[in-house]
Amino acid sequence: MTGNVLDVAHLAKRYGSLTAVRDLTFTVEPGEVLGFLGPNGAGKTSTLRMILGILKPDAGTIRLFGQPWSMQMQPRIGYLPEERGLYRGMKAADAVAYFARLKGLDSERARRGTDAMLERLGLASIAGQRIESLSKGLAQKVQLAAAIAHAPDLLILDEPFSGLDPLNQQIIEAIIADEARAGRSIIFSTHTMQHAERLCRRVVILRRGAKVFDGTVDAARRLLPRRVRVEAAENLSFLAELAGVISLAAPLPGSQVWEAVLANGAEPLHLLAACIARGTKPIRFDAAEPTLHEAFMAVAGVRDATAAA
Amino acid sequence: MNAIFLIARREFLQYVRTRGFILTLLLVPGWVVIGGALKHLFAHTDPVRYFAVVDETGQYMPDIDRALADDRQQASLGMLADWARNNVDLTAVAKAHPDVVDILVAHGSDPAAGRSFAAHGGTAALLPILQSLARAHATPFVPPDPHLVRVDVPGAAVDAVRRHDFAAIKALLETPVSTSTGPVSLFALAVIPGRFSSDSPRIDYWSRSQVEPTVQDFLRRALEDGLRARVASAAGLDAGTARKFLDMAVVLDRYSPANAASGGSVTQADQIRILFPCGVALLTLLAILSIASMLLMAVMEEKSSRVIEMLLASTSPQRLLVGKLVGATAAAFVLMVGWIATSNGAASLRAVASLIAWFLSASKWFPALRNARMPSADMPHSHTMCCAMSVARSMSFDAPLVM
Repeated sequence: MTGNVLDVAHLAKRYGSLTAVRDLTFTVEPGEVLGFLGPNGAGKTSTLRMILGILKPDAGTIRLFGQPWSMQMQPRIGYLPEERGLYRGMKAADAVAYFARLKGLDSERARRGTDAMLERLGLASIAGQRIESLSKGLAQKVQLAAAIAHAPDLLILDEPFSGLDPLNQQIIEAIIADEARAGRSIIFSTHTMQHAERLCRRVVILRRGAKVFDGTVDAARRLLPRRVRVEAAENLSFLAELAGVISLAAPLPGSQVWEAVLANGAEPLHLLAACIARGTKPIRFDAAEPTLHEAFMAVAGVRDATAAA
Repeated sequence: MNAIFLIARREFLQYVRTRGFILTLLLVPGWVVIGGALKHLFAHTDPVRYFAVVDETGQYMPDIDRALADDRQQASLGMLADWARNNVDLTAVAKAHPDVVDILVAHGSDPAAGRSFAAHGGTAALLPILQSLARAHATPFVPPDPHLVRVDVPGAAVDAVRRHDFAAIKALLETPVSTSTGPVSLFALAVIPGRFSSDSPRIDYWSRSQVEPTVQDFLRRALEDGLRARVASAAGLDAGTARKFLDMAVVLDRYSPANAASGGSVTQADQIRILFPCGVALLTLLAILSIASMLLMAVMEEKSSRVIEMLLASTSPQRLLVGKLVGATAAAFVLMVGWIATSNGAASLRAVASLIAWFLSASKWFPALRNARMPSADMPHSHTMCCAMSVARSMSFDAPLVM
């Protein structure tokens, strides 16, 4: 028995000849926000559906809150599906209360939880409106309210930012951050790495149904060598001879930007110091860390292309 | 259990709040009301069918006219009986004039009832008796209009018809024919050939409409009666016996050994006991079919909108299925009970609808509407109507009407 909220071990799912998920193992710790990343068709939604009990795994085990998966666990999970999943003709407050009651709350608690949740998400004014009359952003917020109104211990969000404008993405991100601060364990899948970068400490990256990375966001960034870009009118070819510089790319025609690739642990400021020591005057010095997006592309995209080649 | 109840309640409310459910609920009582009103309306608005007969034998015109008179008496008796049933205290009539009630009750099953009705003086004699015992607020009795009227073929056209002159027959059916009451449009023309007999029971029948059977059915029946009367007469039967032979009908009084209290008679309650389960079974089937389509649409919506994922993430598939079935069954039950309850109310509304229909049929607008449906003696011949009804030689030419 572990203290994890979720333990997935050697999970597999096939649809006919297509293997959607293969030998997938990962965990979610209490209070952790886990980014579940991967390109389309990587097996994210299938995995989340198996955790929810919507799909039955072909192999592997799922343990929730330290116990084998069972229907009794459902009330402790909140779920936001990839596409809007509310009755179009229902009023917003009724929809939230209905799913809260299905999750086991009595009528009074469901109503109170709904009112509080709608108030907290700024939806009190549209409580009496039908779902079909709401904008996509508002409907998504109502959907999120339906997922968390019963105060679940584990929140599963499948592409919560899909199809939303930047403003609504920011609002939903703030709500998820609030839930995380409240101590809820959260798994969310997304294509937008900036959200994962801001919300998650740890990410799991899938490719073709298999896990290709499981670790912290920092560790994902460290998968890529650090790049330093120096813009100067002078010749900076001497940078290639410095310790810790793996390679140096000369500027392209019409450009004055040199790009150096550093070994793990190499200090970028050494390059700046060397430039000054040589009497050159850099116009711009950029030693930004690799982004999660770049790491994701490398893990889920470039490596895939390399493997295919 | 709680999830099943929640799902069932939502399903039930979803069904009963739809426009489709309300419309389906109103279907049966609506049919009762509209059906009653239409029946009353059409009883007074059937277009008059004028037809002519050229009888080359010179023998069968009295048979046709007698059959027309019988039909009119039968129709008058039917309308009078219906009116009396709704507007007259028949118990009082039965005490004061038992013979009148016998005539009114017999109209549905006894072919000779029309003649008996006529023998007792017809509407002119019976209506005052019934009106004297009518209930308060009784609707006025409106006698039926004649639906079939025979007119004579203009003398000049008779020879042309006998020669099967297509142009002359076409002109007869397409242009108004002069009668003593004014010009009328012929609907049909029949030619009884000289050789017409029980050995050669064929006539030629021309009509502007081959799908409207009123006139051809009437002629077939009238001439069959005429032929049978002649065969009976040839066999030595007098006219009265022959008529009795033709009008013969068996009335079956039903008894059951289970009905000791009523001496075995099968009462109306017994018939209801037999028909009620059949009716309930039919309504159940209708309710299931109606709700099944709604259930299918609801499941399709849940599947397409991913609500099904939310549901399956909240409860088991078994509970979801049971909840849906319970909700749908409850809605079907309400539909069925609603049909039965509202049909009873509709039966009362039917009387109101009949009154409205009577008002429409008696008002000054309806004759205009009726005239628009069919060219008649009251209006000039309508070219549009005539074109719409193609003149065609009857099937009887290629496949002669077997009489």
